[in-house]
Amino acid sequence: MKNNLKDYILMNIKNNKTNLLIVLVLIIFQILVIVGASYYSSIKNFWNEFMSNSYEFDLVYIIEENLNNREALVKKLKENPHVKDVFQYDEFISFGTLKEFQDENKNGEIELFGTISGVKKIVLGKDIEKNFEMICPANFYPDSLIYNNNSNYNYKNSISLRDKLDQKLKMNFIGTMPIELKLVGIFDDNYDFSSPNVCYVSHDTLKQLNLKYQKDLEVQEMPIYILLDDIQNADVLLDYEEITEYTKMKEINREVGDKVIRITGISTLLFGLCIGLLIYFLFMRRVKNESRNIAILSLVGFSKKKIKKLYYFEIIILYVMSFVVALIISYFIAFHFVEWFLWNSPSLSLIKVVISKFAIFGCLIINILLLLISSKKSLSKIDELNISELIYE
Amino acid sequence: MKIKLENCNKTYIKNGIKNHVLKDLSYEFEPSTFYAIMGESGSGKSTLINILAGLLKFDTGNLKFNNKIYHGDVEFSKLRLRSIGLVYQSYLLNEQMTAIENVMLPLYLNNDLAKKEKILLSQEKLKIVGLSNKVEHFPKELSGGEQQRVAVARALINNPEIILADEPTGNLDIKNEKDIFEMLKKESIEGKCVIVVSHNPFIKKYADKLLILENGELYEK
Repeated sequence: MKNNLKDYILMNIKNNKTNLLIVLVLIIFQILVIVGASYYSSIKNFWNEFMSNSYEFDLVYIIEENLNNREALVKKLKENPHVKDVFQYDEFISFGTLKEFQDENKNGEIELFGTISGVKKIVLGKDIEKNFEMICPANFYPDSLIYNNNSNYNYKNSISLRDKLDQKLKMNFIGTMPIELKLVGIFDDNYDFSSPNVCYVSHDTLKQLNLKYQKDLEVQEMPIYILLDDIQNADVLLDYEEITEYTKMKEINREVGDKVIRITGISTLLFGLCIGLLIYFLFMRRVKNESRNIAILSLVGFSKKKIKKLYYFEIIILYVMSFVVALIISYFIAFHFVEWFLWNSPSLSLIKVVISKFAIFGCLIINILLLLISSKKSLSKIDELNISELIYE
Repeated sequence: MKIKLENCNKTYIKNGIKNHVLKDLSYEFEPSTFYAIMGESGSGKSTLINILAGLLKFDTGNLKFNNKIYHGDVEFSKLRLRSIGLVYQSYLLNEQMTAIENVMLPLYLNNDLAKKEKILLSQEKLKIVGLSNKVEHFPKELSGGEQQRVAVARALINNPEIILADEPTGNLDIKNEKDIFEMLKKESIEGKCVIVVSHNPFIKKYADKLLILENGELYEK
């Protein structure tokens, strides 16, 4: 662009008050796009890593209403070379309270999950080796109220269990004497967690605890969990007469994750489209309102092609200006949005929001394309203007 | 620069009714001449000016500038930029720009002059039209006569060979009317081809040639 025209465009930007509105609206929409795109890619990355690192998702579970002989089936399943392990419901999950963390405000409730050793990333201490050993996450929320989405809860309410390492913690089951579980390790909960106040013990430990303290657990009606060497081999389960249907845990969870990812992705695209539509309508309006000025430019020797070029450059300058401002604000919002809203939900607080270069670059390219397409459409109205009529209006 | 119209025809169709405003019109406009075109309302005077400015297309015929035929918006825009200055009754100034910015408008397409030179040139033109003290004024801060002076300064900024004016004094008082006609007359004396469309009989005093447009035909009086 020639310097002279740059001067004209800058003067026009300065003189036109609707530009301020355009910039403001562009900033708002772009923040939504950048934050949306960042959340989209962050959630997607988080979920994919989460799914691939959590062995609990590689399980297959079966519920058969008329399962006559569960023990026989479990035994037979364990003989299959593709089946690495089989657990009943009572070996998988249990609830109790940790006396250590109980006070007036906290109920100290925790969940115990059964797991196998070698699947958690231990950051302090060691993995489970024996029964009645326990590993817990680095950020621990000793209160079940966190599930109630209480706004007072955020990551700051988590506590560190590091100083409890190698100590025996007393765990209560309802109406029973406490039993002791030794905290042997702290695992990285970033990509390896099921719920925020979950600790892990071996399946065998869980079974023993459940047998002793939760005798009314109706295990016969609960699912059987199967750990396969590869989730893709799940079809081997259909070789058993007793099993007519199975469900992959991954599929259930993927459905939820995919929905969230889809929603953020679609929202981002919609915001992008809004920018395009907005520019289209705002510039249509401008062309209409400024048709007299366009006629003046035409009189003094600007061709319609050149006039359109001026508008294009003006759009691009306005866009770049708003993009820079939006980017700065987006950085602030993207990180603090997590703190303000998502950290109230401990599971979502683990999402590491990164304003990825890809999201920014993608947003920039898509928006510029949308802008060019929509402005081309709106500025094509300039070709339709009858200058000789406008002069006399 | 000579302007040659050859067998130009222009017809408007409104509500199915044809109005043949220019009928096989042929005429040659010479440099250093002040042409006054008169005629009744609706006789096609403005149409003729807009055709000469390349802002309106004629149906058939030829329009030559120094024996060259121009086509399309881009070619005519270049011609307007370099060789034609236009003045209209309604001044046609950009309301958001100051007097000097309005005058400078055609210079934004001029790459031969530095910004400072453009400002100096615009100030000079405003001085010629008697507005040296109002360069930073916006059109709404100027009187009708002053606005028309700004329009004249803008029309002269690129030193065009042709000046086309459509009722330039239509909204002005007698004093301003006289000033504008005198300015245009001066330009014609300096070698420009000045073509002014006007109802004002006062123009006859300045015109070298008086042309009447009647029934789609142009004849000298």
